[in-house]
Amino acid sequence: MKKSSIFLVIVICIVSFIVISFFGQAVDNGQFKTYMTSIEITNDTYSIAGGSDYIVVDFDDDEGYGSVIVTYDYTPDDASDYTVQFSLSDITYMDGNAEHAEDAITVSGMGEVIFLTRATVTLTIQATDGGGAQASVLIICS
Amino acid sequence: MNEFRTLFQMQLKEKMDISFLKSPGRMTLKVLQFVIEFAVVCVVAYVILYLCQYFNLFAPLGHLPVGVMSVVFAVMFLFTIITCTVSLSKNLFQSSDNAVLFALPASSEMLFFSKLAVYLISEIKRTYLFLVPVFIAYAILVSLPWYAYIWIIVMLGIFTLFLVLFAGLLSIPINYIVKFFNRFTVAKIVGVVVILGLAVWFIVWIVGIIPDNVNLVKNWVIITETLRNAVSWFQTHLYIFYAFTMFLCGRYEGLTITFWTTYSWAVLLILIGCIAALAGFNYLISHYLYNRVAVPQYTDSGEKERKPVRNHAHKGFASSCIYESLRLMRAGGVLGSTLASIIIIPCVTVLINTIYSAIATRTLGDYMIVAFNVMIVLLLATSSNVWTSSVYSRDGESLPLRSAMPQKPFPMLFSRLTYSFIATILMVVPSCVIFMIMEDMATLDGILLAIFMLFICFGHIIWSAEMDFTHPRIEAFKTSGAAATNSNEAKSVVLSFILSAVALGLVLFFLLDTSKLPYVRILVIAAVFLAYRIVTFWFKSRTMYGFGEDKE
Repeated sequence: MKKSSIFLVIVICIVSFIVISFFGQAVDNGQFKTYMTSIEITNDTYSIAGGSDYIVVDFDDDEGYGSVIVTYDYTPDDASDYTVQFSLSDITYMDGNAEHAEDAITVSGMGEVIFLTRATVTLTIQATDGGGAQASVLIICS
Repeated sequence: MNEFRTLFQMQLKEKMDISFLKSPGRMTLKVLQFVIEFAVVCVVAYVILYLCQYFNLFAPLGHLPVGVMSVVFAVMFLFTIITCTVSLSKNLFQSSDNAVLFALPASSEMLFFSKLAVYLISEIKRTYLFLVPVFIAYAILVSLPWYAYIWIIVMLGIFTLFLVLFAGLLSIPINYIVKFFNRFTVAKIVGVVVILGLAVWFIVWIVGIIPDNVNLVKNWVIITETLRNAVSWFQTHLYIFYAFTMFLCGRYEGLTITFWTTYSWAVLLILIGCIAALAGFNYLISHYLYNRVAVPQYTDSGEKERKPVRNHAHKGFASSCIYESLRLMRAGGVLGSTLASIIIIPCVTVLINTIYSAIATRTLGDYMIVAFNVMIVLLLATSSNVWTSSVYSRDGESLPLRSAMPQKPFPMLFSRLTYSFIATILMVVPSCVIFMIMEDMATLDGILLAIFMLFICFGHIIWSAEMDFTHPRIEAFKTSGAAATNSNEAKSVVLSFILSAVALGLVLFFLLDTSKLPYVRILVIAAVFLAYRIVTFWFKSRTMYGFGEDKE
């Protein structure tokens, strides 16, 4: 078998998984909706006695940014709508300058928080199904 | 130097079709074809890389780290070094043109390097049709300066030289291993069984680790994180590939890519040093060893004396079948590849269907699963039969003599394909049974689908064989028994992909069509395609080899 054919088969297999996952997946009709009841952040966190949990991110001076993907788990596993919304609050810049650009700290749709400067921020994950489940964590980028 | 040039030109002419160099028109067409192929690979690679960047798959902030390209580079390196070593081992030590070349007044190192040079040409062509466009696509994506493109093109060419010299060196121990296996049949069988066993074990292991519920959308974050960690691990632990990729494409400093660093000088010097060292080693080995290793291949057979076997007269069809079977058994390569395909294709079917089963699909998804199964199995099966596009050319100079045989041309030529037909049945039917069971398909539908796939595969085999006898590549096979590049094989690979893609489209179209009997409809189309190929084969065989028909 030719090398090109083997590559092609591998590519088609990967494409097929993506296509079937995105276009052929079963859709919940919403008749019997199961709400998310709780969200738990699964990253490695530190905690201070009496204080809240926090995640530490290293700011990479060479790359010019620091980032972390905040992972989470939810219950029940079979929640009808498993999408969540990420939001940032309580931003404190470590250099004491409060005049940073709006996009100095951002969060993507998949929960990746990107720091273009050293700062602390609180990330909140909220279920979008209307059930009210949410979780927060403090992130320190130093 | 004249000696080298003569040897090089002589071998190049036999292994590659370079007649286009004499005709400006054909040369323009060749260049155009090359540019189109290059552009297509470049565009496809760009789209894939752009999507990876767009979805922040490997890094945040919409950039694609150089580490990703180092993984692509490492995978290509691994594949190329394996194929180069195996091909060079055959070309240098087991090629039938050694008998002629060693009789020429040329030194062994001259012969060795002329063979390496011929191989280098074909390898450079491959590099410029795959690796270079992929890296150019990356250069466009990250907006490298204009001189980076020239740098990539030149450096990957030099890297191919390094690869061929390295493979040339490796081919010597590989040749001893091949000789050992050829001498001890039991060891050969054990070796094949062990390799296939490992391949099957690997697939079973993969199947075992696939979770019960696969949901790419839901697990996107986990997938992204895993991919990023994998690239990061690769950068740290296989730094040599990362270093070379940085040398090719530059490195990120902050969010901007810096193309040339002082460090690039070091890599360039190391590369040149490695090439010089490898050339020196190759020279020494070819000077002291090449004669001794390659010459006994045809002078000292070392075979046991064989008892004379009485020839039996067979009917035309049977005679051709027996001839082809004996030839394939003696050559070994095709037989081994077929055996591997017969085992691997059902294993791949199990693997992909395990993943498909883990995805909770709706009706459209179920149809997609059927269509992708058809495409993947067809692609694998038809790719395994690409060798039929040189089935007659492998006869070398004896092919034109066949037109003088007192036999009708159609059965004479068609019967040579019996082996491929049987092998295809053994590849496709088990895969269909597995698919039917795993996807809970109705038996009748499964049988119709299997026949549909067999018809497509048979059509491909006949089409490929037809290309061979209408445009035989005898020159490439008559002395060396192998062709570095065979346009018929390249066309057959393209046909394999097109037919598989069309089959996917047909299956999906008729399954989505609400009218009845979708499998019967696709089967009718496949039957018409097969009948058309058989009729064309029959007409063309009569035209090309029909002179002996009246003699029977």
